[in-house]
Parts: sequence; C-alpha cells; structure tokens
Amino acid sequence: MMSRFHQDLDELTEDVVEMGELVLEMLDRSVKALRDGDLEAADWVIQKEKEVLRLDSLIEDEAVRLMALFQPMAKDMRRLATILKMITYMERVGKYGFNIAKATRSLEEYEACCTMPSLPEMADIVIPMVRDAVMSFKNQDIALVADLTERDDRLDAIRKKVIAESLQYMKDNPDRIPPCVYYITISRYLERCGDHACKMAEKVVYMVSGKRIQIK
Amino acid sequence: MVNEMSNDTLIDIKGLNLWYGQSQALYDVSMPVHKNKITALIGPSGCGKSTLLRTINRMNDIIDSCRIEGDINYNGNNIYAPACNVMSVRKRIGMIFQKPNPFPMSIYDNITYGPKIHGVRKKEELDRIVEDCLKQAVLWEEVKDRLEDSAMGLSGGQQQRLCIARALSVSPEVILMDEPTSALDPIATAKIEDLAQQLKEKYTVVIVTHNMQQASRISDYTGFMYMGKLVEFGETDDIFTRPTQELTERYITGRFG
Ligand SMILES: Nc1ncnc2c1ncn2[C@@H]1O[C@H](COP(=O)(O)OP(=O)(O)OP(=O)(O)O)[C@@H](O)[C@H]1O
Ligand SMILES: [Mg+2]
Repeated sequence: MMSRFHQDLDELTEDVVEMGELVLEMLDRSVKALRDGDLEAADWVIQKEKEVLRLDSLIEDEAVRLMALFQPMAKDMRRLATILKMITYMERVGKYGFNIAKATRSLEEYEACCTMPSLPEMADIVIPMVRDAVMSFKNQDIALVADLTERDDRLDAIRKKVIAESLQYMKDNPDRIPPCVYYITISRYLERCGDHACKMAEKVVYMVSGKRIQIK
Repeated sequence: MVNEMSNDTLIDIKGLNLWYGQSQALYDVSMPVHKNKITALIGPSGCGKSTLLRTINRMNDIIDSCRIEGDINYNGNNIYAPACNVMSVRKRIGMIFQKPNPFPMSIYDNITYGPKIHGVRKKEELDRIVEDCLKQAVLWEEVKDRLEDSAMGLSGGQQQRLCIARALSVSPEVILMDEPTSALDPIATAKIEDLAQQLKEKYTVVIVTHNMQQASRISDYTGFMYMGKLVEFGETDDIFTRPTQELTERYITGRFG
C-alpha cells in the first residue's frame, strides 16, 4: 500500500504536469494568434495568466507542506526540489506566452499580422522542447531530452536570422520599424523559452539520477 | 561537510561475521570509522545495528553464545587479537544506551565511579573531572547545586546527558551510542544532538538511530544495514540525497516492505 506521503507527492506531480500543459497551450496559442492575427486566441492566453499564478502558488505551498511534514529523503526530496524549480521555469514560459499575446494585440495597430515566418519556425522547435522537458518530468524519462542542446542551437540560429531579417526590413521600410521591434522582442521570448526547457531538463536529470549536468 | 584532510580511519572493521549460537547476525561487514566524525548506523529493526555497535568495544563478549570472525582494528591493533586487553578497550571506547541507566547513587558518584576504578583518588582531581564532564555534557548548569542528590531524580533527558558525562569521565576516545534519544522528548533530543556535534571535536562518535532525520542532521557518515549485511556506507549527504543502492533508497524513502 502506498503511504499518504507518496500519494500526495504523486498528486502534486500531476499538478505540475497540469501547469506544464497549461503554459504549453498558452505558448502555442500565442504564436498562432501572432501568425494569424487572431485576437480571440490572444485574449484567451492573456486571461490564463491568473491561472498560472494560482497553480504556481498552490504547488509551491504543497511542496513546502510536504517537506515540513514528512522530511522526505533521497529521490523524494530530489523530486520536491525539482518541482520547486520546474514551476519557476514554467511560470516564465507562461509569461512569455502572455507577452507574445500582448504583442499580438499591439501589432494589430500596425495592421501587421506576422510577415515573419521565422517566428512560427522558432515556435515549432521550442514548443516541443518545453513539452519534452515536461514529459520527461512526468515520465521520469530523460531520453526525451537527450538532444536538447542540439535543438537549442537550431533555435538560436533561427533567432539570429530573425534579427538579420528584421534589420534588413527596417532599413528598407523605415515606417515598419515598430512592428519589427516587436518581432525581435518576440524572438527573444522564444529563445528564452528554449533556455528554460534546457534548465527544466537539467533538473529532471538530477531528479532521476542524482547527477548534476549542464545542458547549455 | 566532510573534510578530506581529516579522513583518517580510527577504527577499521574488516570482514566481520557474527553468530548467536547457530544463527548468523552479521555477514562480512567491512566499514571504516573516521576519527572526529560522527558515523550513523541505520536500518530496520533486527538488522544487526546494536550487534555491530557492540562489537566495537567487545560488549558481545558477555553473551555466551556469541561467536565472532574477522578483525576490528583500532588505532592499528586488532581488538579481537588474543593479547588485547578488553578492559582497556572499554575504557577507550565508551557506550551510551537507549534507556538512560544512571547508577542508583548521587550525581557526583555516578561520574567519579569510573575514574576511581582506574585509580584516581584525589578529591580535587575528582571534583575537576565531575565539573569538566558535566560541562562537556551540557548538564553542569542544571545540576551544579545538587551534585549530592540522587541521579534517579533527574529527568530522562538529564539522565541521558549524565550517562554521557559518565562515559566521558574515563577520557575515552570513542563514544558508541545506541538509540540515545529514543526515550526523550524533542527538546531533550535536540540537546543530545547538539551535544553530539560538540563532542566530535574531541571524540569519535558512532550512533545507532531509527530516526533518519537525526542521522542526516548530525552524522558525517552513514551505514545502512539490512539483514545482517552492510548494504551501503558513505558520506551522509550522499546516502540521504542519492544513495547508490535500490534497497537504501527504498528504506530511507519509506517504501519498504
Ligand atoms: N543476545 C542475543 N542472543 C541471541 N540473538 C540475539 C542477541 N542479540 C541480538 N540477537 C539477534 O541478532 C539480530 C540482530 O539484533 P540487533 O539487536 O543487533 O538488531 P538491531 O538492528 O539493533 O535492532 P533494533 O533496531 O530493534 O534495536 C536479531 O535477529 C536478534 O534477534
Ligand atoms: Mg538495537
């Protein structure tokens, strides 16, 4: 029979995965909103920010409660320590989704739905990165994140392309400078999401194996 | 926490097997005890912790059916060699038991009992030992005005600290503690834990405990035993955050049996 503590720990793990799925959905919809100029999708993302903050506090409180009450050891302690880190990174990812959704709203003003295909291209790499980090946590399976360094390098390369393309575009069309500044900023958000996916994966490796590694 | 420089082994247990009559209680146990460190022994009831602890000062000798194979080298000498003087081993390696067991005499006499046996006679010398040991055991302030009172009138936690003071009175080098706080309340327990931390500056401590948080709080090294075998031994931080053996992991995370 499973102890009360281990039941609670498993439930908490499910909450973390739920939070992960929420921020992934936010990131995904924010990029689609940007690509399609879909303000309804942007608003959906914006109003989900509160839910992320709620889950963040709820999980933190529960993790602290379990530590205080049960003084967990070994892999149980590593799991709780990982959870406390994971929610911080996930909260950031949700925030970037939120920021992209806000930017989508602002871009409306310039009647510029995304003319920059490199941004969705970045999203196509970074969303699976975050998803695999969350899934590797859920399944305690670090194989999913084995190639994260490589994927992050590709992400960085596209980001450089976004900057180059934006600069060129601004030179050619000085009246289009404001939207281009948004594009550059958004590329920064997506790049940071990749960094957070790598950080999450590092923590998951620690949780699973007790070893500290550095992905980037 | 663990300092590489002071990693010297004071006691080296090598290939220890122990039987009570026909039944074997320890299987090929090998383990170092590092000088001026606290070593904790953990494991489920009946796994052999007390048995192993008692072998370190030959307390099993008093059990008739007990038979031992293997070596325990203490300061380089095998304490199980025929030429070894058991009395001097016990003087150098003191023991604290689960239940405080003060002698039914005054606080003062409890502490001078050992030194007197070892030939200390002068009143000033005995007074000095009493004060010194009670201070080291962090009991002096509580009892200095009633040294002639019976030790039996002390609280459980005070009695346990008195037993520690008594163990210190013969200037041991090693102190063995068998679940020294299991009969104490949390405050008395915290005092004994703090005391153990202070003691390791002068002494080497080996402690058996069922309280894993206690082991992880106070010890530098931890050995996990199961069914007479030493399953894993290592630095306490490693044992409690990333043990290498699945059995250790299951025991310390409470996923056992
Ligand atoms: N004097 C004795 N005579 C015979 N068998 C003994 C004796 N002392 C201990 N044993 C047996 O040796 C085994 C180890 O006992 P030991 O007391 O060392 O366990 P322990 O780990 O200290 O357990 P606990 O946590 O309950 O104190 C047990 O099976 C016990 O029954
Ligand atoms: Mg015992």
